Amino acid sequence: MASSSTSSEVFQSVTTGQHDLTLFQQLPVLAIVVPLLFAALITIVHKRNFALIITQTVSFAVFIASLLLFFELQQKPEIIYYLGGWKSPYGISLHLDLLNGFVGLLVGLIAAVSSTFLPQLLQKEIPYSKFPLFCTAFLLCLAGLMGITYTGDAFNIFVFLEITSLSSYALIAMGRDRRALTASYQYLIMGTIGATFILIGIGFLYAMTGSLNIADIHLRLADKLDSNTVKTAFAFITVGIALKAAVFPLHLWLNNAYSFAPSVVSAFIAATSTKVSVYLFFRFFFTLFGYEQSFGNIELGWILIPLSILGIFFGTYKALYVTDVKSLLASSSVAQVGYMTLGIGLATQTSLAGSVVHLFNHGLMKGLLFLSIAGFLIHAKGSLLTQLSGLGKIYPLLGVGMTVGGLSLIGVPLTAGFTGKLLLLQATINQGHYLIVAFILLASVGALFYVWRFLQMIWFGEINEADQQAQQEWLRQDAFSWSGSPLNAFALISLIALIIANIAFGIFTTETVFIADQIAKALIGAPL
Amino acid sequence: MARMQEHTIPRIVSVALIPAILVFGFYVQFHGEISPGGGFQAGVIIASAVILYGLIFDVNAAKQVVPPAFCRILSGSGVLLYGGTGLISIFKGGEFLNYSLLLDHGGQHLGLVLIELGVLLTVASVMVLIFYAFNSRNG
Amino acid sequence: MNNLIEIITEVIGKYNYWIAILLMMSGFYTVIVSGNLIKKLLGLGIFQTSVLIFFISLSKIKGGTAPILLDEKAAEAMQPVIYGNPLPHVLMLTAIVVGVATLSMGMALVVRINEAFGSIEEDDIHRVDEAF
Repeated sequence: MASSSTSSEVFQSVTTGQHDLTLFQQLPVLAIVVPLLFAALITIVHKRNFALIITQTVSFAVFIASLLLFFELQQKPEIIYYLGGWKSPYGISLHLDLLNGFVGLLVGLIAAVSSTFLPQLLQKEIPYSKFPLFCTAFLLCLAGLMGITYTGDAFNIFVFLEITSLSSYALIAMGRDRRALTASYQYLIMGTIGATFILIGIGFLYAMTGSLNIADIHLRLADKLDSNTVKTAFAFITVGIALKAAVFPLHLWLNNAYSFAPSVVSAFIAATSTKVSVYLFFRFFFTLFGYEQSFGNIELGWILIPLSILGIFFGTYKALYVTDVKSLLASSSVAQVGYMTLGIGLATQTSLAGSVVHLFNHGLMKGLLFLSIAGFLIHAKGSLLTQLSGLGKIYPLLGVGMTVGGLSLIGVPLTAGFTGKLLLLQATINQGHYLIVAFILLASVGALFYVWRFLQMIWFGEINEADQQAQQEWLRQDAFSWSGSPLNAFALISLIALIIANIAFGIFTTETVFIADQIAKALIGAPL
Repeated sequence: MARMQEHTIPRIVSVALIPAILVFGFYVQFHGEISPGGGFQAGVIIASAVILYGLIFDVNAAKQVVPPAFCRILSGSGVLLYGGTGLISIFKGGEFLNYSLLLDHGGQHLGLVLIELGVLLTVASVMVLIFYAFNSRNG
Repeated sequence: MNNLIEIITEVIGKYNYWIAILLMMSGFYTVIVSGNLIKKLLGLGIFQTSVLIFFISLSKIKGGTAPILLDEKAAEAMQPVIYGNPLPHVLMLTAIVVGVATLSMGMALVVRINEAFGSIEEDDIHRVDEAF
């Protein structure tokens, strides 16, 4: 039959026909699929220890995969993986560039580090019977985050976004406090509205271009940029991602969600979820719509910069008076997201580089801070400031973790937080926005005060009798008493690694700044 | 509330309907690759048969027919079947879910059937699980 | 006058968008205004459903058939067939799954909230607990 021969020709022209891919070339998809499949395996086997070991192993495997991919991406400009062998734009492809790789590395790292804290969670916060399902949700969340980061397909972003969100609703709702339930519910409503907005935006783009591949949409949009449909799509997508990233007026879900989630979940989600959403800003504004459209035709800066500043202000202000440490850190997250979006709003090469660096480093420091709190919470009754009183003296290592994380949060030189802020300051000074410069400095002073609030409590507060007893009790039982902290060796090592990372990324900045600069250059698309 | 079991008409109607629903579900499944339908739709239809049974003849009766633990295992296996199909093509050196490598001829067809089966298992069992979960909280 | 008729036909001709907008706004309104947690979820469901209609109506083409393979005899006899775009249907199948998952997740949360707070009215929960 004539038609069948042509159809097979068509088939060959749209497929890659590869059958000799190495394992290394399969890494992008494995980083997404392996957590997904093992999550399913855990629901089948449904055993506590099995779930724990699998979760930790898989998280580390994903971390290693993301690390390898990141190194590979420094040699090549991009890695494209065609799912199902269908060439893009016909099929779904994973599209990795340096930005992707950098964010993926953050997600992998934080997942691996948080997974070492899971045994502690098991002891205190999650009932034994629910632990396998908890691990399933954790791995699904990881798979979703890796998926959002690596995919090159707009609709795929929506799907992975929902996988991430649904599993994080479940994770947050497992908090001990009953307020975790209402927090999760609030997040569910806001998150779903956000994701649906993104979906509507993608629908408009699809109507205009007939394509879902991000790179392909970008090409096809070139002569349609003035159309109102494209602008509407832009608006919907911006608002949708802003909801997910907790940009200022849309940040209200974040505080409760982070405060009442189980402590390890707070660490994992706080350090990755909003960062990945901010990454989506980069992906949509620069790769999909293009710099010209986002900051030339539409002048997004006029919206994004004021909102970022308001976010920095309100986040810092709230962190100055809340009485719960987790809530304090969550408020500070709103402020830090403000810094990142400020960098996007300014849209110069330096500011974008600053934003990328801050994105990565903020993940590191929030991970460290929340995990230190997770360590404290093994013995402390709750995360109110007064309940953590004097705990730094009992568990020095966790205290050091809080201190380094806190200093990094302020942006003290020689800690990770400094680099990003410095680049942002440079960018604002170069553009002559001196008001913003003054504001950033003011906010840093505010950060100094709220960090001091918890550091003072931890180091100089009076030790509670009950805490002292809990430690004595535990010292008698536990094999790892030499460490002076209630963590097992594995978790301890990862905590120390995070502390070192927070300092190292503050001292050896040339490498990160160089990478961020390259990313920024690629995003803007022209050497400035 | 009067118990559902005491209503004769729904009982008799559902006795007649449940096999028909199941058959229709499998029809939608097995014709999925050439006509409208597929794993998701079939899964929901088949699950609706179990849910109808549970509504009319008490949940515990339904749990005897389709135990929750069985559903849990099935829900995981569906995902594994789907992903496993993809992994086979990875082991053969192609991209994830590249069905062409499954067989020399008709690999695309086989791949489609396998992943739709995976979708069917997961969707049907998860729907039933959701029904059980909400029912167990009742009172 | 002619101009007016043109505008009216233009408006009515795009009825699919109007339906989607109407559903979207009524769902959104319910989410914002209602204090009952279940009603909020139902509003959210309607809101999501409007997107389904939006996407599906994108795929419709005038005079096009459903995107299904014809059997061979019919295929030989007929001229090239106009058919609707199948892709949005597939996308929306995924969105439906997401909607189901969200709705059941939300309902599960509401059940738990009801157990913990003894109410599913926002105001009551607020009274019991300031944090909401």
